Amino acid sequence: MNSLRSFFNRSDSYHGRITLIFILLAAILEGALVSYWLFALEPRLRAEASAYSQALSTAQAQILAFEIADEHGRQREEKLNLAMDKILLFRVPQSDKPFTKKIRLELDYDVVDAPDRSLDFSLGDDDPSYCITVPIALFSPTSRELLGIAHFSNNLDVIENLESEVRTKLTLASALIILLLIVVWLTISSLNARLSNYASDLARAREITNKTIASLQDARIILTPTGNIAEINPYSAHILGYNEKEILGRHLSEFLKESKLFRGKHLETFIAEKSLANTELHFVNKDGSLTDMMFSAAMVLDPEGNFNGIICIGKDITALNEAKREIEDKQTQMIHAGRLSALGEMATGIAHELNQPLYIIRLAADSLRDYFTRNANEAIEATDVNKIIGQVERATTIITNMRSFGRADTGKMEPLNITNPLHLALSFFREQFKKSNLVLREEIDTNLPLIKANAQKFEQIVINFLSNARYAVSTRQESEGGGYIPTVVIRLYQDESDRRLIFEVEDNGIGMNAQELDRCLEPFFTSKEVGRGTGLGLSIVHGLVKEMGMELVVGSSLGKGSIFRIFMAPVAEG
Amino acid sequence: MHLIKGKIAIGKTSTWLCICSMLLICLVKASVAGQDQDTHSARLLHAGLDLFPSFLAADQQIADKQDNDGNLVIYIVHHNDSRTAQIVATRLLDIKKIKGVPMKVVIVRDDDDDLYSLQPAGIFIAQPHLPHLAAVVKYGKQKSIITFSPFAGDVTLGVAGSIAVTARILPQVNTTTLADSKLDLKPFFLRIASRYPEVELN
Repeated sequence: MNSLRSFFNRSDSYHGRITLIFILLAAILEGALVSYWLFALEPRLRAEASAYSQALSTAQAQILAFEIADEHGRQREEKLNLAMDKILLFRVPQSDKPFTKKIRLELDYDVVDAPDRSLDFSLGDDDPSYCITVPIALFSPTSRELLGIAHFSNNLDVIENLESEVRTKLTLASALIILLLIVVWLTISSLNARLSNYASDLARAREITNKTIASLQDARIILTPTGNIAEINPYSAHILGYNEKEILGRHLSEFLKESKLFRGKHLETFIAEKSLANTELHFVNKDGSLTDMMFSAAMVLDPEGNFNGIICIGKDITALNEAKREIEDKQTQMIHAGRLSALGEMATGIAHELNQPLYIIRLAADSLRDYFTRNANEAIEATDVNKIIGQVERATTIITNMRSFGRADTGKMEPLNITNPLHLALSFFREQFKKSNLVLREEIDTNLPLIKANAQKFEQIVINFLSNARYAVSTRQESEGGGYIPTVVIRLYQDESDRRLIFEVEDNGIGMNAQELDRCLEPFFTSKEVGRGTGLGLSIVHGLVKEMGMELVVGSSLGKGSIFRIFMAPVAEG
Repeated sequence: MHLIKGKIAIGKTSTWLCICSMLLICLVKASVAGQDQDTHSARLLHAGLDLFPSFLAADQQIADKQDNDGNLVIYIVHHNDSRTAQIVATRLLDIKKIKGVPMKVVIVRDDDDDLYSLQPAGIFIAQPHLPHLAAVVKYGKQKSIITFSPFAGDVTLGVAGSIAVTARILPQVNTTTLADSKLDLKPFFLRIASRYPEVELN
């Protein structure tokens, strides 16, 4: 809007300037006309009027000279007066005003034979206004001597009429010029207004286009013919983590994992093929991470057809790739889950089948124990029977647990006391740890709020953690031997600060290096020996944790141990 | 080929015709201009003849410039146009007297030694572009007499008197020459006369 406003302001300013120019032009033209009138035309008219006046007066003066020179004529003064009167009679035809308003004689009495000043007549208006006075020499027609000077005061009405006529014409001409200027000004103003409208439409269209382009969630980069970045849209800079100034002028390949793009032979190939379509490129962001982009580029040619630049459009497909990877992970998990499900069903079947012989063994053992009790037999056989009964009970518990674990997973999330599935899972491992001389320390807070989770999935998580912990401590025990006490600590408690429940499995096993720690949650990544691990355990755990809305944090130090921590939100009370 | 040659021949003929026509037009124009010039000079001569006596009459020492016979000797100077000089002489003699003193007219060539033998009261230049005008002017100054030429431009070359033709015909005086010649013209005459070099008159 600001740009539009400034444009309109510019338009107004332009219109103002045009108006000012026209006013100045009109003033200059009017000034030129007035100057021409005052300094050229009017003086010229007056000079011409004077010239005509002199010519006419010269002709009339001959009559006076003749009368003055007629020394012997009778009544010279009277004749001279009559001649002067006659001259004063001449009138301007257009105005019917006297041509000569006054005649005054000034004679040289050295030449004229008459008493001094006796013939210096003055006839006509005593105060002739608006006249031009012309001195005319009077020469004797006979001796050609200068008799005197006749001052003719000639009427300027002729010139006044002419002046008036010319002035009227000039005024009309100037009015016409002004009118023409106004017409031109109006035309230009109208054109300017239309141009302004077009320009504002264009500016609006450009603004909309720019905003549309800016709002596109696509990278738009314009390169110079050498591959340097000439323009970049804000989105591109944003996804790369740079500001535009940091990017402009640099070669595009500096930001690419594929650093040979738009360089050397690749550029030649691009120029030959004129475009690059749907190529997946990997941009290195400012923070070192990668942005996957589906990239297309095309040559920009100038009107002469010369290679002028490259326009590139890129679509950020990082999220798409991540989604693809997640789908692949899920697929792997599903396969694994399918296997587990089959294994569970099989284990449940086996447990069911084993229950019958165990039941018979238990009945037999109970009968034997009763028998030994009745006979007060305290021989070793009686003790062994108790052992049989104890082992049968244990086997029954294991089978019950296995059947419980193998039940079909509904995936239903429900509020539960997390200690139940935890103890169930631990029951699988307590004996194993004991037999293997591994320390399993349980620090479980039983007074905890409920959490929303799926019990079997949580059991699966615990089993995975404990299985990995057992492997880690066993492996370290194998390598270190005597002084090492392989210990796995299970903790379940509530964080006082954020009220979340924290489940931890900490071991002092072999631990992981940084690379292993980074990748430990990836599917099929394993640090175990070939044949000892599928690389799916932690990946499945990661998936389950996310699925149940929990948070998993892994910490490890190579040769010192690892800790797996799950944060769980308690169910809101009420 | 014939056609082309014909065209070329026609073209050449046309060119020559054009050139000849232009030359003819130029000659005619030059001739007309020459005639116009002659006519103009003749008119100036006649106008000058009308005014020359007034110059002589305006000379306040004219009475002192009579020859031994009591005449005012006027030189009609020409270079090679004696016919015009004769006409001028005849016209001047029509006036007979200046301020009551009889006139005597003498026709002389500008390169004639006789020019300097007599005591003239005035000199009338009767031919334009006189080759020895400077010598005549110098002589006029020495003798303190009017040197008059009606022809345009001569006053700028030092002639004392001439005519100024605009809407009216006025006597024209070269004030420098008048001063150099110590000529004393009547103030009344100078009031009406045009002056060279021009001066601002209040």
